[in-house]
Amino acid sequence: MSVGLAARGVVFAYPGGRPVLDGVDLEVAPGRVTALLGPNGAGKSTLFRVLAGLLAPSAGRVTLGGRALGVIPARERARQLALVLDPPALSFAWTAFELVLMGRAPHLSGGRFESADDRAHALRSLEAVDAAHLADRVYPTLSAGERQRVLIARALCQDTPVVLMDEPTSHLDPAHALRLAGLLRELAGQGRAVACVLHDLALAARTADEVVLLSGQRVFAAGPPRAVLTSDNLRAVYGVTARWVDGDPAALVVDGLAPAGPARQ
Amino acid sequence: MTRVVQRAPAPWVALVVVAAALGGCGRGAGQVPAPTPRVVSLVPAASAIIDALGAKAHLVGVTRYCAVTGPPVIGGMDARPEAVLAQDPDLVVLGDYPSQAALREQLTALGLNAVAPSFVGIDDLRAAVTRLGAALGREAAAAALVAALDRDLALAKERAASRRPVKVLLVYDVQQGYVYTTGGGDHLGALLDLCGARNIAQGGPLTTRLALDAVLARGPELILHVAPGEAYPDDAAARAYWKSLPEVPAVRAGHVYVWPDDHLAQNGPWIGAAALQLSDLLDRVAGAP
Amino acid sequence: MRARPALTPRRLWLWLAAGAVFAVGAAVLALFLGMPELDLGTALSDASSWQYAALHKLQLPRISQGLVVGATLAASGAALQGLLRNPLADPFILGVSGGAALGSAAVTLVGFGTALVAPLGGFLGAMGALLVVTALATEAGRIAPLRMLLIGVVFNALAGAGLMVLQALADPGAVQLTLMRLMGSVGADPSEPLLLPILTVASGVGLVAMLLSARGLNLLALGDDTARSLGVSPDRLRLVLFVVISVAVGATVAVTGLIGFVGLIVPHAVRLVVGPDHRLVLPLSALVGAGFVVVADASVSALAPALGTELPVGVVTALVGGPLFLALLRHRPTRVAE
Repeated sequence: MSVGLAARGVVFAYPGGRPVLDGVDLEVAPGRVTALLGPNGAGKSTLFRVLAGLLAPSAGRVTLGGRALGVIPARERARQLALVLDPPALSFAWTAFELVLMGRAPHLSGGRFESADDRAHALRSLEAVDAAHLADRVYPTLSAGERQRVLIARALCQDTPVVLMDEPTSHLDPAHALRLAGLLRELAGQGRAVACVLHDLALAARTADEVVLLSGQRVFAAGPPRAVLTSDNLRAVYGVTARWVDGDPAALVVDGLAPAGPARQ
Repeated sequence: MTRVVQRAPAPWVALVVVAAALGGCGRGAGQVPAPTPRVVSLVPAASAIIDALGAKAHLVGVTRYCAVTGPPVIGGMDARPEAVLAQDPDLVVLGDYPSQAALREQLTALGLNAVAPSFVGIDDLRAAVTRLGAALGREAAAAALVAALDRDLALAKERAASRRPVKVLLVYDVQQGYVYTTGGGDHLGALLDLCGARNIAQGGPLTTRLALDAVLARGPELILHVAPGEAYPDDAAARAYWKSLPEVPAVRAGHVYVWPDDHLAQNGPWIGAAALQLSDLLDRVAGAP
Repeated sequence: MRARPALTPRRLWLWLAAGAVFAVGAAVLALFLGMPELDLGTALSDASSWQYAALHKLQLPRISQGLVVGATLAASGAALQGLLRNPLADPFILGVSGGAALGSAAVTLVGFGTALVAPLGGFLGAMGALLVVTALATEAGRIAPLRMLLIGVVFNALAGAGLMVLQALADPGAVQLTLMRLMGSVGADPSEPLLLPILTVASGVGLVAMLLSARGLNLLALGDDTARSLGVSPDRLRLVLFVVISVAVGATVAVTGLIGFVGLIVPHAVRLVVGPDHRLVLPLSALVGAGFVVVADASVSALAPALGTELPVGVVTALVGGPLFLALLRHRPTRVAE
C-alpha cells in the first residue's frame, strides 16, 4: 500500500490568466498525514485539484506511485486515489448507503454488481465516520455535517492507498471533527498517504505529520507542524498571532489578529 | 376525370383583362376604375361566387387562395387591415370562421362594411349567393345561379335514388397512418348525403382523424382525395399510397381518385356541377362488381 | 434490514420481469382496447380477410411503434435527467423538439410533400439542433449542464418562432396538418414499411448506449469532479449520450411528433418506487414507458367511437401525465427532487 503522491515544480495558470501555482514542490508520503494550509487565495484548492488529477499542471509534474498522474488510466487512478470534495446538492433521492457503495465502482469490472463483501465494506465505512445510523436516510434530507460524513465514508469505501480531502471538517461539529482527526491518523497508520486542505490550524497541528504552508502561489514552508507553524510564519502568512502550548507537543492556539496585518509578497 | 365546371367568361372579362394589361398590374394611371360597390373578398368561395355572378370587375382585392384571376391579391386569409383599407372597398366579404373574427372586428372598427356569411353547408352557399347578388345589384344572376345549383342537386338526388349506397372515404390528407377527413358537418357531408353515398367518418368533427385500421374495418368502396395536394397530386400518386392496403374494397377495385381541382373542397358556385360529377363516379363504383 | 435493499442482479431481474409483464400486458390490452371490432380468430387464420391485414399491417406495427417510442422517450428522459443532474430535463429539452418540429414543418410547408420527407426533415432538424446546442454549450472541451439546458430552452423558443413564420406563410390547411403531426401520434403507415425498422435501430442503439452508461450516470450524481475521481469522464459520457439520445429521440419525433410527458413522468414514477440507481431506472423506465404509451395510444382508439375522431396520443399522455405528476409530487415530495 505504499503509494505516495508527489508534485515537482508544479505551475498552473488558467487560460489567459496569471499563474495560480508557481513552482510548487511537495510530497504526500505513505503512512503520513499531510495538511495543506494557507490563507484564502493562496492556491490551496487549485493545488488540491492538480494533485487529484482534476487539473493538468501547465508545467512541472505530479506523480502517483512514481508514475506521471496524467498517463494513468482513469479507472486505475481511481483505485489508487480517493477524493473528498465539498458536499454537493443531489437531485435524486439516493440513500447514504447507496452513495457510499459507489466507492466500490472502480473495483468492479464490466457490469458486475456490488457483492456482499462490497456492501459490508460500505457499512464499515459508514461506521468509521459515525454514520451507520444514516445508511437508509435519503441524502437530500441530511444535514450538511451528515452529508460530509457520508461523502467521507464514500471515499473510505473506495479503499485507496492515497486519500485527498478538501476541508473535510468544514461542516462538522467539534466532536466529529476530532473523530475525523483520529480517523485520518488511523488511515495513515494503515500505511495510506493522506492529505487534507485544512483551515483549522489547531486541528492541523494536532493531526498532521507534515504541514505544507502555501502563500502567494508558492510553498512558504513545509515540514513537521512545530517547524512550520511558527508564530513568525503564521504572522507572515495569515497575519495572526499564535503560540504553541507549553507541555503539550501538539497544541497550537491562535490568539488573534497580528497588529500589522499579513505580509504580502 | 375531367374538369366539370365550364364557366363561359363574360365578354366584358376580356375588356377588363385588356384594360389591366394596358394599365399594368398595379393601380396604375391608365387602369379602368372598378365600378361600385368595390369589393374585397377574403374567402375563395365568395370570390368565385362574385365571379360567377359576372361581377368580377367589382373585386378590388382577393386572397392568394382565390382562383379568380385579375383582381389584385392582397394577402392570405389573414390579410392585414391596412391592405384591405388601401383598396378603399365599399364591402369586405369574410367567412364566418373563428380565424377571421378578429379581422372582421378590426375592419368594422375602421368603418368598413365587413360581412361574414357562413360557408359551411349548401344552404349557406345559397344564402351567400343571394346576399352577394343583392349587394352587387345582380339579383337576377344570383337567382339564376341558385336555380342552376338546385337543378343540379335535384338531378344528383334523383340519380342517387336508383343507385345502391356506396361507402366513401373522403381524404384531405393522410400522414403517419392517419387519414384526415370530414365528419360530415360541412358541404361535403351534405353532398355525399345528397348523392346517396355513406361517409365512413360520419359523425366526427369537421376535420376528423381516422386511423388506417378504422378505414380497414369500415371498408370504403370509394376513396376520394378531395383536392390535389403536394403529396397526392393525381390518381396515380394516391393509388401508389393506398396499394399497400389492398384489403380495402376501394383499393382492390381500383376506386381511388384525386378530384382534379379544389371545386369539391371549396363550397363554391360549382358545387352543383361537382355533385353531378360525383354522381358519375358513384355510378361507376356502384356498377362495379 | 435496509429500507431499500441494495441493488443486486436478482432484484434487478425481478423488477425487469415485472416491467416486462407490464409492457406485454399493456400491448395485449392495447390490441383489444384499440380495435374492439377485431375478431382475433379470423385475424390470425384467414390471410385474405381485412382482419388479417388490420392485425398484421396496422395493429401490430402500431403497437410495436408505441412500445419503441415509449421506451425511447422514457429511458432518454431518465438518462438526460441523470446527465444534466436536473429532474426537470426531458427528451425534448436539448433543442431536439424545436429542431425536429422546424425541420419537419419546413419540408412539409415549403412543399416537398411526400410521406417520407417530413420524417427526414424532422430528423435532420433534430440533429442540427443538437449540433448547435452542443457547440454553444461546450467550453474548453467541457459541456456545462446548466448552460446546455439554457441554450436548449432558448433554441426551442427560437425554433418556435421560426415555426410561426413558416405557418404565417403557408396555406392554412397545411398548417393544420403540420400542427397535428407535431402533436404526437403513434400510427402505422403500411406505405412506409421502412420507418419502423429505422426507428427501432436508432432507438435500440440509444437504449444500449444508455444501459452501458448506467453506472457512469450513477457516479455522475456525485458531481463531475467526484465522478472523474471514480474513473468516469463526464464530458465523454455527456457527448456520447447526447449524440445517441438525440439520434433516437430525433428519429422518434420525426416519425411520431412530440409525445410529451412520457420522458418526464415515467422516470420519476420509477425512481419513486425503486430508487435512483440508473442500472434499474433506465431499463425499467423503458419498459414502463413502452407500456404507458401503448395503453395511451389504444385509449385514443377506444375513445374514437365516442368522439368521432382519434385524438393525437400526445394529448392523452399530457392530460394523464400532468395530473399524475402533480399527484406524485404531493404524495412524496422529498423523494422526487430537492
